[in-house]
Amino acid sequence: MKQRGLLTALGLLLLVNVVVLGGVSYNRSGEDAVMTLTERELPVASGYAYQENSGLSLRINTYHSFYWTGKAGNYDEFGWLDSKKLESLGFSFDPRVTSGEKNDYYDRQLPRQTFAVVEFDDAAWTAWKKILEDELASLGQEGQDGKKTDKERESARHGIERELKAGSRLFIVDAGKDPALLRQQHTDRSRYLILPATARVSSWGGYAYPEAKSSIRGHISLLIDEINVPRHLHTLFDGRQPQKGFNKYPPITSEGGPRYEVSLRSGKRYEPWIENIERRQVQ
Amino acid sequence: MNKNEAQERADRIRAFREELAQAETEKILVLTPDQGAQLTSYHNRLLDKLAGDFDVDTSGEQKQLSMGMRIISFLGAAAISAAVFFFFYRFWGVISTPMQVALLVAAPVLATLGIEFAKRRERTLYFAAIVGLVAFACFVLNLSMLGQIFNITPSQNAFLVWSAFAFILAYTYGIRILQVAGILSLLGWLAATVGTWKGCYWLSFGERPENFIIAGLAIFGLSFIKHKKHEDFPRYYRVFGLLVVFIAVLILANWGRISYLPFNIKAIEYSYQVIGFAASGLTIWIGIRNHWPGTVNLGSTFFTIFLYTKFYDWWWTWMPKYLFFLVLGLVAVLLLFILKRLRATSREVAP
Repeated sequence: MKQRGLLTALGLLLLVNVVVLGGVSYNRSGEDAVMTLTERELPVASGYAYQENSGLSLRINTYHSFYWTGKAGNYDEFGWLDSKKLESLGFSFDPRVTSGEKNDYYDRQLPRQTFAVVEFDDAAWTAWKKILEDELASLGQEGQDGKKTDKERESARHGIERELKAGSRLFIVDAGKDPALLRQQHTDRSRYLILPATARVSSWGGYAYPEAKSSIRGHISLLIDEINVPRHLHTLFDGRQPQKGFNKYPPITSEGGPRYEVSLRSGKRYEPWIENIERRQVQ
Repeated sequence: MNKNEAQERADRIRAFREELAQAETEKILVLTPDQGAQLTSYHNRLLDKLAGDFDVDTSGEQKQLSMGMRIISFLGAAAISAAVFFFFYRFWGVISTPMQVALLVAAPVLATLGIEFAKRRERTLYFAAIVGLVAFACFVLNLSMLGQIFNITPSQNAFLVWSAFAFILAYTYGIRILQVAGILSLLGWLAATVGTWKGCYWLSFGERPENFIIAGLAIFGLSFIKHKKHEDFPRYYRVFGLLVVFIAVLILANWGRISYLPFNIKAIEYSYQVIGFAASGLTIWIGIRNHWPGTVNLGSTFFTIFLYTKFYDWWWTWMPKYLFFLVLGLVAVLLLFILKRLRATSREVAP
């Protein structure tokens, strides 16, 4: 009996590992997307390469709302996630829900598993860049009007320039339950990456300020937002103190620009991996 | 005879000896020297055999030491498991992917073989329990790190295989700590799976305590399966299953906003308060009826917590604090009277 139990436990261990590694092999047996990104889009994730954790991962950076005091602060990167799209992801909308009830009704809806389309250096980046450039241009006027002090304008200018020159050009631009259908709609495999994600819906305004106009907002989070760097690709990062090196904001052009280029792939199960990392020539 | 039955026999002999000594002191019953010697010799032989075959505790001191050893073996197992986690995290960045995979697969396999090795050298299973929990921790590390290394989409099914692994080892070797590991993993899987029935993403299962009510009841249901070999296992299913149900009900009784129920929040909270009182009362009744002391204690504890929570809601803000705590104290005294009455009734009923 004991021998049988022991063998069953060992058998289970090995079987589960075979299934997991078989899944990895299946994922990598085909390529859904092949992209070349830089440190701007894939900075070193925090918490890695420290004394207690020698591993190294790169974070998929799709975050953009950096500047909350300016017009760009109102930029909604998930503006495309309207009620029709959210309904297609499984969320319920009830027109009978009053403004005061919206917060409860929508916030109580739990996240749904979905697939996100991540766009690289295309229409979304162009639109975002335009907002930032307009804001940069308006800074001078705000100085003349006395709306901002010189110090505030300098700080804002610095933030915008950094976002323009070192910010990520990755944007989540679509989501859906069927990744194959999403791929049909976004065919450029070097520009659109499909990744597993979760969608959440929330309402703001209605609960705390019942008299204010409520707004329902969707939000997409990537399920795989950090990608492991295999040991043989660590060379570029070795010998650097993380707090002094790669864990900081990517350098802008005048500081040499992004320091590395990453060849990223995703496979049949839409799980990404890093194929190669190369040092970029300092500009 | 299994180890529990052997321990019960040894306990009966010890109690019998103490009672006989008392009866002899009070001159109620005095055995002749021959009878006394014969009985002592018989019991000594029996205790030696039980200790030899099952490694049972044959004295009160041994029992106390055994309890201490169980606590130490749990703490040791937890510390070594943490050491395994931190060791891997500290060095995984300096080894190649094939080596990482080889280590992650080899560690639980070796630790599992280690249980058999420890079991053959020590029948009390203290060391086997340590190695067993380390094997479980290695398997958890195995799957979670493979997920990290190969950027795999997380799945709740990991909890299912962890629980299967823990249960197989628990039932093979009779190690309770592994049964508890299996129960917790199964709870995670059940709660996550129930959460997905409504279409939500599995990792959000913690946001709806009702998921745990269903999972806890399922675990409680496992206690009704006959356990001929591991008689103490059903107790753990009962206690952990009910504990999870009560915690979930307690949360919902105070925070109805996170319920699945599409009703007014206050109505949800009141409903769960009623459910909490009814369920804890029912638990006490079932526990008394079936002679499950752990279940009775759990029911009593949660009945008191539900009661105190209600008192807090009603009186904390307007009652002077000395009066509030006095009321709590008086209620405790009242509960003691009720339980004492129940105890006396069960004594009258018992043969």
